[in-house]
Amino acid sequence: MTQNTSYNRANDRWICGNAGNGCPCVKGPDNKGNCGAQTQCTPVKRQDRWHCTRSINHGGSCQTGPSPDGHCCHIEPGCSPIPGYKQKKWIYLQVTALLVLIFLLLGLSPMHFEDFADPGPLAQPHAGITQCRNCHSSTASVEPFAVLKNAFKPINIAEHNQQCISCHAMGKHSINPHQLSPDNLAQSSLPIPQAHQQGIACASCHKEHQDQLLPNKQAQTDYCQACHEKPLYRFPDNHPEFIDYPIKQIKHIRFDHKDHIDRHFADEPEFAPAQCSSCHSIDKNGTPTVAGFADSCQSCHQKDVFSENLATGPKGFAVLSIPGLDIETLQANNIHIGQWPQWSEEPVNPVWSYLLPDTPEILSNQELLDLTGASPQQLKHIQTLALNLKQYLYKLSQDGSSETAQNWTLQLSQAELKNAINTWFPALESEIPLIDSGTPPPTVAISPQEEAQQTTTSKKNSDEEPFDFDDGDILDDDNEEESLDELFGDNDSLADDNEEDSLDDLFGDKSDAKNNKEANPLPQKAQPNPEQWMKQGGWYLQEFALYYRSTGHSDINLKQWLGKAPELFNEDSSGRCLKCHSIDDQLSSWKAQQRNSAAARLTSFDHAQHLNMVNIDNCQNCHTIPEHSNDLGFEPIKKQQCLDCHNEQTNLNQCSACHNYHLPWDSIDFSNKSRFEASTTTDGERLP
Amino acid sequence: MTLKLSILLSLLTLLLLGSIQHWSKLQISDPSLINGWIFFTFLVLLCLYYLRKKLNVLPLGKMEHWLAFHLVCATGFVVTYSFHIGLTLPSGLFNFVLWGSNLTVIITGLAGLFLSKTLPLEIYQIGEKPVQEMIPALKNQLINDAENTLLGYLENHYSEPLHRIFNSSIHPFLLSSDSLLTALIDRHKTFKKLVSEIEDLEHFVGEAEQNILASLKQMVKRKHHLGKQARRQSILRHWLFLHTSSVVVLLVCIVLHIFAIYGFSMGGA
Repeated sequence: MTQNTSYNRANDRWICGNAGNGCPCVKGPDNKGNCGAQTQCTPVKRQDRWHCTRSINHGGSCQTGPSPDGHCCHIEPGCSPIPGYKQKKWIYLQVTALLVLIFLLLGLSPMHFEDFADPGPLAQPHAGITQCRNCHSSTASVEPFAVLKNAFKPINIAEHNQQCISCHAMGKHSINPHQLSPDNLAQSSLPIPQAHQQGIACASCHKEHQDQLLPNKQAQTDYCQACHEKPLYRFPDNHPEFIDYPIKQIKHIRFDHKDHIDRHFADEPEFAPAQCSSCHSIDKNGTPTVAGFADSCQSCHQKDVFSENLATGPKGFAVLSIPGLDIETLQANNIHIGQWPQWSEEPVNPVWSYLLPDTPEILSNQELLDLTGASPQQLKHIQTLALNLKQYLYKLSQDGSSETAQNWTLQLSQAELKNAINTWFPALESEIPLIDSGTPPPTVAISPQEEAQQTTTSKKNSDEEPFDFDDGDILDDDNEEESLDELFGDNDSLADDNEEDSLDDLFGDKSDAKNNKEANPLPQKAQPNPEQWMKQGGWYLQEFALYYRSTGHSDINLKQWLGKAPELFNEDSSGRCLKCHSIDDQLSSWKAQQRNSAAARLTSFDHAQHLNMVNIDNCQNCHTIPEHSNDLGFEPIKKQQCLDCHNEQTNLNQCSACHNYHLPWDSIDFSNKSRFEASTTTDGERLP
Repeated sequence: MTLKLSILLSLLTLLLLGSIQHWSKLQISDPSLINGWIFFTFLVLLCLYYLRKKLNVLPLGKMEHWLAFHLVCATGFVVTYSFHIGLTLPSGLFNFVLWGSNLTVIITGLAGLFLSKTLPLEIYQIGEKPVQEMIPALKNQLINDAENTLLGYLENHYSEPLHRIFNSSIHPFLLSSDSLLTALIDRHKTFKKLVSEIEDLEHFVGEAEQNILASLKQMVKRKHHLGKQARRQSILRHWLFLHTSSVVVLLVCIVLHIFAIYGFSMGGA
């Protein structure tokens, strides 16, 4: 008979060993697997008798009944309890856990840890790195505890990137999106996602220990969407039209192709280039380059560089000049400034604002020659300007003065400078102590006769005494007429002028002179025109200003001054630099096609690759000449022009087909060889 | 109902996970980091089912709902895992163990789902449905009954065929093991052969002996059914052994994996 015992249920941990025979004991095993069989019941004593308590399921009270001393007379046979389902499961889990523990203990031991935790092979370029610690430097010995400790460190992207940029030079802002400077980023209208506010880790895109170090093109496009959202997702559909591409980016040189082709090359075909490649070539990176000035422009623009074809105005750039003042009014108002050239009509040279930055703002140039309506305050300001100017010139003549002054008087010899100052202010040396003591000498106008005698010129880079025209060879030339023509500016610009005016200009008699002064008496002996004399450029003194005339293309002085104060120059300034060079970009580059702007460098267009295509036979397939001139002389590129190739079918519609994430970087710093040292043999030979 | 609900919720989960994966791929960060944590969350949620079974005294909802939730999470678990590792194979011993335990969990889980849907039906169709723990006793009783039936007849009659077939075939069959391995090797051949042998013998014996043989044949069939029951119940229970133990291994390895990932890449330089 099968006994319906309670421990047949699956939840019991142990099963009676006799259950298999159909005779399980009454009590069954305990939870620890000990056999619980002793007797079939535990008799109870009621009044004076012991009674059997065997359950009905096990046959009820036995006929024999308990012994007189209260023991059950049915002794259960013992057994070896069998583990039940739950117990088996528990044992199985325990064994598994033990095996895992042993496995982990062995694996995590420092001896085996690197092999145990091997995350996969490195990408091919890093294959020479064989030790974890070469990159994971903070886990110095790559020990489990060091790794555990690192896991709780706050994320430090800069430190993380350091491992990469120690070899891959990425500039100062490697942590920023596109390595852009904070200033550039601030200009961007795109918000940086919160997740990348602290920077972007190299490993976000370049995953090591996996098949590809570089993300595939689809992944690259996906990454772009983190900041550049849907509107730019696919080229054919979402990319905006090229409204001003590439015109906006090419702005260092203002070259109007349409104007040159239609007008200049048509008028002077002998100077016209045969084809685009006469001026442009494609470099090894597929970037178009422009031939230099000497190869492409000089044949036509040489005269511009030397300011030879300027019709009006000085051909040099006035660096130091003495402004003309209404001396009579100053005298009448007891404004003491000492000696001052009576006939100077020079405006206040803006260079003075760089040299004398503390000088108060004064009246306009026009009003300086007529101060009758000036207020006492304005007169005081003029006095300050005049005295500051004198003090500054004196200092300059003595010791070259400050660095600022030196920058504005590059290649001007001290002797030439002294000569110019003596010409303008003969008694300056005696005036300076009085000015310094706060009691400037009374205002005195220097007579024109005195000045005329003292006018002289200087020669570029000369350390000798100023050139004495009286002793010069020019006037001793055999062909005196020709020499005089040259000296008196017999060129196209002057030829058109009234001869009388030209002579007046030469001798400093400006027809628009104010102050109701009498006309200048002509000098007794013809003086050479210093401006004409300095045709090849350099410093020269003319009347009340020291001029500098361009010495050729890329004149070092003009380049420096343009860089410092581009607002002082215009297209007609000496050298005519700004006729072609744009100052829109603060003259960040003098060369054409220098793609310095961050936005430009993040777009790559391989001209060589495109020019090799069958259906593109010349530049004008893409760069069409517009009907009306614009800055560049080209129509902007049209998106439609690209769609033939950059579409879904060709899979060239990804962002990365044209755009780079990284700003161009030139080289890998292999000087940081420490990472690779571990992969060399003791003989220093590289392991394969 | 539970299965339909599970399928519906699983589909919704798949949509949600697909969207998250697409979104995470559009970030400049490793999508594995996001789907790794989702994967771990699913694992924890799956383990809650085990805890629910342990805490059956608490009013924590019906088990069938928990099972539906378990299946939904399992779907998410499998999908997220495929997102997490893609088509790459692991390298290094630790990663291999991690991958292996994961695969075991998934395979045993899928197998469990299949078995729990098919075996109970088979068990029901067999007819008698004793719990596994009672089957040895029932088998023992069956042997006693068979011996008593035969001996009761042989007390008054002499029957060489009955004596022979009982000793050579029926008794060994009744004593034979019901293990899965034996069944896989034997593939019911012994049972069919024995039944055929009994039926063949019935043609050559008298009516009384035929009755005894019919009784013995019924007992043989019952033993066969009890064996099938034992094996099915054993399978139904023991697949969980593999499933739960591989989950334990997986949990331990995943925790270590998380520490390793952060220790080597994010936190560490």
